[in-house]
Amino acid sequence: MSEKKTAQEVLGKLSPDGVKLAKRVVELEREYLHIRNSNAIVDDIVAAVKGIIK
Amino acid sequence: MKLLKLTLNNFRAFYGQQVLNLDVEEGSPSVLIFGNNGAGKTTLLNAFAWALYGKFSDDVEQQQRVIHDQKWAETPLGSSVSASVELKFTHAGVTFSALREVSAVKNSNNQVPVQATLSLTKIERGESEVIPNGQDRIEKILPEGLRRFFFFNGERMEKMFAGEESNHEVKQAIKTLMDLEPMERAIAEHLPAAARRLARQLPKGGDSRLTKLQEEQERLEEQRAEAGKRAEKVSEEISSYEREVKAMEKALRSHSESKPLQNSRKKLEWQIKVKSDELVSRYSRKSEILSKGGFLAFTSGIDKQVVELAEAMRERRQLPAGIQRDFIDGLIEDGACMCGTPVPEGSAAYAELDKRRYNAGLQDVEARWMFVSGQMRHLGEAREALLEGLRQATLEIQSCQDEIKRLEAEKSDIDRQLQGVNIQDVQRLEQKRKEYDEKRIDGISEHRRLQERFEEFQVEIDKVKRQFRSAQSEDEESRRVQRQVNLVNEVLETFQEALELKTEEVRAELDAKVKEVFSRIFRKTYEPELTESFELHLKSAAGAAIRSTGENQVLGLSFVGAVSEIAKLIHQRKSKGGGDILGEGGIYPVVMDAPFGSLDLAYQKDVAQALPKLTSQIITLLSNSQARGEVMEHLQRSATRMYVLRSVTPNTDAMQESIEINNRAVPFVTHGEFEHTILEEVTV
Repeated sequence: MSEKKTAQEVLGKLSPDGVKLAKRVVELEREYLHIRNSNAIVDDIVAAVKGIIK
Repeated sequence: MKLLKLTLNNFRAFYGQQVLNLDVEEGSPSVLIFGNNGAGKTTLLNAFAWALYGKFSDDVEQQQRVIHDQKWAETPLGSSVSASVELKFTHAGVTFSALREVSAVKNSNNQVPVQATLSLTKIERGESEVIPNGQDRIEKILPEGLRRFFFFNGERMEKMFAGEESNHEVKQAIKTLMDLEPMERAIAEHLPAAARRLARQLPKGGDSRLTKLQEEQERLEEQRAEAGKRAEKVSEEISSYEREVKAMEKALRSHSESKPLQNSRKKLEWQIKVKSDELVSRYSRKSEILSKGGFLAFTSGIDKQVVELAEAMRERRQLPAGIQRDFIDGLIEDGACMCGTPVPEGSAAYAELDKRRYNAGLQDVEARWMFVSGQMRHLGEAREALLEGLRQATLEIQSCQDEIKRLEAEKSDIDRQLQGVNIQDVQRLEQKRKEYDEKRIDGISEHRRLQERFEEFQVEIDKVKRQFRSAQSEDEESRRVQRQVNLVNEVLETFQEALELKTEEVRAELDAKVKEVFSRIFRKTYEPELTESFELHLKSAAGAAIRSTGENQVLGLSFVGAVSEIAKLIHQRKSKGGGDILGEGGIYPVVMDAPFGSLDLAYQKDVAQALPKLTSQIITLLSNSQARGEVMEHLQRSATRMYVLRSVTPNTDAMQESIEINNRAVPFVTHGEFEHTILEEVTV
């Protein structure tokens, strides 16, 4: 029987670029957590993606 | 977060400046504050939340009267007057001072609502710096949604889980606290929006296939969102119908004529639910039997046929007989048959023996034959067992269905009896109940249909995404955008999978912790359970426990304690583990008024023992009646500091009172010129 996966294991399978983006996204979400319907966060995620894949 | 000091200036019941030191020693996490009714315990509890969020709890009356009445009265008209609360605390190694202040020019004898201002200062390495947009920073340290867990009134604790709205808020707060919210929001809104925005940047005149796929995805996402929104609305409608049905049922219980019928119907509904759950499990048992051995049902006759065929072959000597080669070797060597007939080499008997010797040599074949014939016999037995199992399961299903049918007929009869009660109000209530219940049932079907639509769209979207991901693009610019979109989708899909697992991990951890904390305090064999949808239930051996106010309080207290402990654990793991994407948690203080609510003495003792274990700092506000005997001893054992809220009153008819702390009478109520409260520290 296969062992049940953990959230951390799933995240561990991200590509190196995926890890960079995932960390940045969580960081940004925490930063904007108290603001509802923020558009700025989408700008920041797009900028982060463009910074990773040029 | 650790609280250091609370300074009040002319704040509501507190005249002039009053200081409450809150730093505690390790192992003694409590600060105890005693005050009689009306001394300002609730005000003090609210002072913490007001300093941080600028709001009072709903139970505070006359919220516009922030400035002490005497201070307001002694201020000349046209002059300015102010009140403030300053809360000093540390968070992540930095000291903060949150100063909330109202300042007004007195234009009348009555106070009017005034907007309070906040000044948040950071003190680091001896230097202080005012933080612009301080509310923003406070929200990041301790989001307002979490205040219910850390600043609360024990008497209102039982309401923490009452009502759907409250449940939703609690669920959301848990998610915030357990750090699930960032991922949830990224999945629901921001990552899909970022992917859309990036995909729109595909060059015009670039890869038209990618553009078409992107447009197709957007179209599907819009349809999915539409179905999701509609499902949400229907779900709200279902809840509102459920509330109406409950309200009608409650009203029906208030009529003496309809009360017994309504109670019987409720009991029958519960029995139908139990039987329906049983039916589901019976069906799944039958499916399990079929999936494991269903093929056996189709083997009838095959085994008999195989045995007959094999036996016929055996008779024709096409299969080895049951004689071992060693035995025939012995006969040939002896030159005689077992009946004494000589068997010389070259004779017909010798030839026959030799032939049999050859067949007897095929030992493997023989062994397999023995095995197959044995299995054939087992096959028959297994088939019989399968058929018996299925017969049994079918009987059980039938019995469940019959029972449900019987209960439903009984319920239907009660429905008719209720409609026939010769009281107009009862008939009207029953009619309304029926209407709402029908709407509720229709809503459930529609909701199921919308959910299916939602899932169908999701499947389509995933398909388009896969096509987008694997499309071979001609031009470099399109390929770059494609890689960017694919990266966002990689993170999005991983987050979706991880969030589902993480939510379950957090729920299971919190569930275990609530059970542990609850069993420390509670005596009965009741067990709390945090459901998959993060709803807190209390179960007894007979099903859902009927909760008293006291039980609800213990449940709420256990839940708050469990939440604090888990938040602390997550924080400790994160500090040790380093760069994980998940898990923030934190160490939070608990400030609670009337921790014992309406609990009896035995539970008060248990709660008093359990409180210090809840978190690393706990500020407890108590009345005189709650601070006696063993309860007081338990509380004092864990206290670093103790305060008394001394009520000063000009009413000389009122008795002056004192409270006994450490065998010393400490003034509790004294006479003075005007009503106010003074905070006095008492030696521990």
